[in-house]
Amino acid sequence: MSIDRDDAAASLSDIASIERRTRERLIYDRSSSQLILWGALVATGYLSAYAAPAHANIIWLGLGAVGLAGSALLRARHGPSDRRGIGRNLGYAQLVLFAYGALLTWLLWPMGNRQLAAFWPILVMFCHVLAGLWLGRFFIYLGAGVSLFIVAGYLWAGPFYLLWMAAVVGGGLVASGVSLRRLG
Amino acid sequence: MSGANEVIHQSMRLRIMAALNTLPGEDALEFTRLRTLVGATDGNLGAHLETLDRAGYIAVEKLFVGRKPQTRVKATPQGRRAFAEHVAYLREILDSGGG
Repeated sequence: MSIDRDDAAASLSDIASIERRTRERLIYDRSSSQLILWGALVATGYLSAYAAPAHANIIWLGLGAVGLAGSALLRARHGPSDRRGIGRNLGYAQLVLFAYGALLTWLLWPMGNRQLAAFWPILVMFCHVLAGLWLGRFFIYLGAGVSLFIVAGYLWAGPFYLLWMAAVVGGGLVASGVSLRRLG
Repeated sequence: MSGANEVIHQSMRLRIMAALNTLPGEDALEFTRLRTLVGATDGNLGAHLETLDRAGYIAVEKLFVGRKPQTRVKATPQGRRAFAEHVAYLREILDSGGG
């Protein structure tokens, strides 16, 4: 069997393209459950903060802990390879994000509840946009789109701001997770 | 320079092995996902999987998830090795500028 230079180049290019698509699909698959989990938690958080503003901080802390534990469980469900590879890195990324978010919140304190409610999801969406540069355009559209809706709600949703955030951020994440599941 | 692997070099089988080789560890891909990734039809993919299976390069497992049958495919260590050797061979051709 003889393979010439052009044939070898075409085959290597084909391999690179399939590898890139496979990695992208794996990441979409792994991320979808995480997005659905966090979307549900975030929606619960905003609705609870709207219904019981006095307890908002403790509710958010509790939901954050549930989210981190739930994410770890989802990674474990994907099997040992996920704990070593993509899933492990997603876990580290979440921890780094929380640490930096907490640091920025502390530095910028005091923040009003309205600002705080916009700050965290915009930070998360900013990370989605950055991640999208490597992981696939889906994350760029998700991050940029939800950020725009957050700013719109911040400016114009008035007393319904938290309800708007529950629908836009929570609903947006759940819808994105479901879409990714179909793509993955 | 080691020779070309005739089983793997066929265009569709090369794509199949590239996709399966990208999976970490012992992970497997569902038949339908693999079909989408490599752009094959059911029959076409089935025939090429059979060839790769006979060569010992992949393992096919059929199981039930709930009541739905599911076919999962993964690369064997032998398949990963053969694929790596074939890719190295292709790179050698490019580096040496010949065929």
